[in-house]
Amino acid sequence: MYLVRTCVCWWIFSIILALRAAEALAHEEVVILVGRSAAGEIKLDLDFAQPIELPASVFPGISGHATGEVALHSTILDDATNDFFQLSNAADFRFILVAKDSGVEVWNDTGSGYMGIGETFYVGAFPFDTHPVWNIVNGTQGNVYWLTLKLRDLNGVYPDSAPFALSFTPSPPPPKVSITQVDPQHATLSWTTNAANWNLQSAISLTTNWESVTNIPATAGADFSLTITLDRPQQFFRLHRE
Amino acid sequence: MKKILLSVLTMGSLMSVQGALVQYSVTLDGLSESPVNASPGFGSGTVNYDNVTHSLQIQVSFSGLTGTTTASHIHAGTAAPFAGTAGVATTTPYFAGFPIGVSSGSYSTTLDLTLASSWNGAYITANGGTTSGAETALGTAMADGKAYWNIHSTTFGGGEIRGFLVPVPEPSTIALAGLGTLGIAGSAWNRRRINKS
Repeated sequence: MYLVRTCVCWWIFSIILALRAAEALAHEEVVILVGRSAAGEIKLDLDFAQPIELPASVFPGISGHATGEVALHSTILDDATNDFFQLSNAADFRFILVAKDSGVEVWNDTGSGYMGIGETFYVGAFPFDTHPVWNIVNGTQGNVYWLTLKLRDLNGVYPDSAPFALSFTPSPPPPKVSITQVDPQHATLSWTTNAANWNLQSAISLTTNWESVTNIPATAGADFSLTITLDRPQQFFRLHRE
Repeated sequence: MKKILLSVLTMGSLMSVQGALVQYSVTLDGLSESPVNASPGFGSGTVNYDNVTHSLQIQVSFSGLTGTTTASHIHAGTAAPFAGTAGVATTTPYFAGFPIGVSSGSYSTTLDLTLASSWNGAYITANGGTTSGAETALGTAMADGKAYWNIHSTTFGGGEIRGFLVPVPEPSTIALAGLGTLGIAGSAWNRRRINKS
């Protein structure tokens, strides 16, 4: 009996760990790809959905919503079809903040404060990969905030790029999974039906691959509900955004 | 005697070429960045590449960053060994589960190199459009000292600490090196003995 109780407690403990892991947002690649045209002009490929959702900041000293995931990469491909080629390594790039909405900021390249209009941010020579911190300091859910930037080559190999705009919006808080033990052999997981594009996944440990749970959940009011059998030493669950 | 030594050397070389697991160590700091920075941050780790199971086991511990982490990945391959910069080879913006928003931490995972999700999509495209092409390119870059691990932070967008992957000599290589040293010493001793007599 003692053994059974210990097993159930350990199982529930594992589930609780998993629920915390479930709060992490899935991250998607958002890259501002920089190249040049055959005519020698700086070109940008902003092949991602806008506005970019910024999650709640996890950076100490940076409030609101923030991310360092939106990067500037120099292209490592020559794409003649799209007139998009690799940059010269003789160039030395900076980006310049041209304009911004109130409430949105980009931190400077030393992390000491927000960039001012006209200020430059170090990007460097080709090939480069830099991750500025984009920050909605005082944002309202559902609002969109714009930053306008341009790229400059200090060595004069290329003229300034055309200004380009990035838009950001505060990410809604991620949905949470809750768990209720039904009996020693069963527990029920539940999460909101408003969590569009979020799928339940499970894993036998936090270092193995996550797999989608294919069991179809029942709908109970505003929640999805799925009863699981406690038949493993431990199991982890999370909601993963598609 | 010469025949025996030659056989041992040949066998050692073959073992080295056919070995499935290639081990690398990495030391990350601001002095290794491009451009160099004065960060007191430091990190160390290992990268084990298995070319049979097509996996990359990576592990790192770091501390003392002036900012907090924003991204981390392995870049390859630079134009010259142990210098310069290169595009991102592995998952962007960072390895799944890598600690973000911290100034110190540790991380380990094993990447399945047959999965596109283990790579930067552009790196696959640049290397034949397949994960096996990307794996070959990264394997070559690591062996040539042209791959580095970079940790980006809120204070250094381009990277606060980084380090090139350095091959860890296999035990058989160390043994062969020892054997070679002994051989040279023995030969020198023998020459000196002959000269004296």
